[in-house]
Amino acid sequence: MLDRRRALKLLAGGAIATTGVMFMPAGNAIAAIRQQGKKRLAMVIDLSRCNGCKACVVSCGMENGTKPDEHRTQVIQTSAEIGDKQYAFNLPILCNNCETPSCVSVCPTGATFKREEDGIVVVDSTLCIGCNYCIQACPYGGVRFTNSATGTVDKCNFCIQRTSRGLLPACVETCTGGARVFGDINDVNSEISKLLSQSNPMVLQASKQTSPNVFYIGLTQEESNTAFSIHSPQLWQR
Amino acid sequence: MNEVHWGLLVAAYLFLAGAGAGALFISGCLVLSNKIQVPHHLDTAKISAIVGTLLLIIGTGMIVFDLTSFQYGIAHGDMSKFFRFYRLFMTFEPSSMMSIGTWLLTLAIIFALLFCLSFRAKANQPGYSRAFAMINVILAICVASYTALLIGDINHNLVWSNSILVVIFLLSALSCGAAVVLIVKTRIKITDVNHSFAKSDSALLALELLTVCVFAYSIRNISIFNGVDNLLAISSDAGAIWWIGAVLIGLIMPLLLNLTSIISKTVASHSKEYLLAVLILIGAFCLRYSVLLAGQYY
Repeated sequence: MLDRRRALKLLAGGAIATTGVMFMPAGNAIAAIRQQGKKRLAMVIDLSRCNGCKACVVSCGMENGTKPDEHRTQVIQTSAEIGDKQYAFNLPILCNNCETPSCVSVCPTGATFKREEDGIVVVDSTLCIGCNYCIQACPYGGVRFTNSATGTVDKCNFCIQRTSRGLLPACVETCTGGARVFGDINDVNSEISKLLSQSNPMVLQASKQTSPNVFYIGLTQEESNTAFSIHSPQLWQR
Repeated sequence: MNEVHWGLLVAAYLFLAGAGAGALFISGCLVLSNKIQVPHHLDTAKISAIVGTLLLIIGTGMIVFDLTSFQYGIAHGDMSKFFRFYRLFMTFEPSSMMSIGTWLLTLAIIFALLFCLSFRAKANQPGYSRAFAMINVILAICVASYTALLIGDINHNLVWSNSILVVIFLLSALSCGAAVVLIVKTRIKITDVNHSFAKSDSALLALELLTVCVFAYSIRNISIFNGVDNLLAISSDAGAIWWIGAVLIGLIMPLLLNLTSIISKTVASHSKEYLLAVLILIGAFCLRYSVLLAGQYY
């Protein structure tokens, strides 16, 4: 039977655990994923290497056959402030293939699901009805969109057709600055694991508690907390 | 900043489902309170149930029209995409509010149809009519709440995740139902001699106005806290529809119309009653549309 003392202990434990998760830096989040002992495909984007050429955007479109105005990945040119100084930077955005994705639980037909074998979140276009509920549920604006060629929801799946054959995603292969690194973060000998352990990676909007599998090097705490969207106006459009 | 994925069709769905549920709720209450012993109350309950059921069916149709697979099926003559919505009925996902709603609306429509048929059994009240009325009242409350919970489940959304929205949508569904019943009563020429309808409608509208103001105030505070422009500022599209459509046309004007007939102790003309009902319905639609837009604007 649950007495008052035990209930209070449980409550306190729960509160501490919740607080720990809320303020967990990306490094600890990676450790938590690794403990599961499964293959976990992820991407690291080094912002100091991104020159905003958008070769990734073009190659993604060619690989996945999306229309020119529909993007699975995009590089937004945005700005941030430190004190009274404003500066511009490139921010590549794509589906974060989150560890606890908010899009999966809301899908009414089970079309959106997370693959057990590698952790990639996929949309089965033969099951998707196009209700857009997942688009609304995703806190990362614009990474999901309606593919006009299929009438169903589409998103980045780390080029599943390539990665399942041991190839790199199209955007990683064509990145002119070598900013995008892809691999299994559970494999401690992989390039991505080494890169993550040597740097201080950040994820976008950690407060949403979706544990993204896309990590950024060179992103400040303030920038990571900002809600960027693929539809954010580019600097030259303002 | 974000694209608007849920627009007029989804707003129409939320509105029609709410209005239908409201009408069925009032009809069910009339049966349960034995008021249908009076012939004109029986007619009101019967027609309100039929209209409520139709609104529920049309509303459900609106959400099907909004599916991009359905629109693709029409545009490209692709029958497999056209009928793709059947997938909703092939599974039950307890974590998805839309999946729960699919089955809830299906149940609500089935029982609403049975409730309508129960009026045909006998001229006076049959025994099972009360059972159907009770089920309909419960399902109507569930459907009216569900329309708010569907968007409220998006927990990172600053506007939709506001808990008071459930209360607002419930009250709005009830006032919509009252407006539908008022149109029915006016059509069958029943006069509200002792202002009982006007008084209860006024109380409902006043309560809704209060909750709507509390909601707008909380959205203002949430917007400030999150460093974004007030999502219901009158300068924005959503804010203009909210303040002019939902609050002024949908709540304040009907409230004033009701109060003038109560204070002057005059029986409202049928044209005035029509106007009152139409204003409430326009306001209820604007309320849902503005909430949908505001939630997608930041």
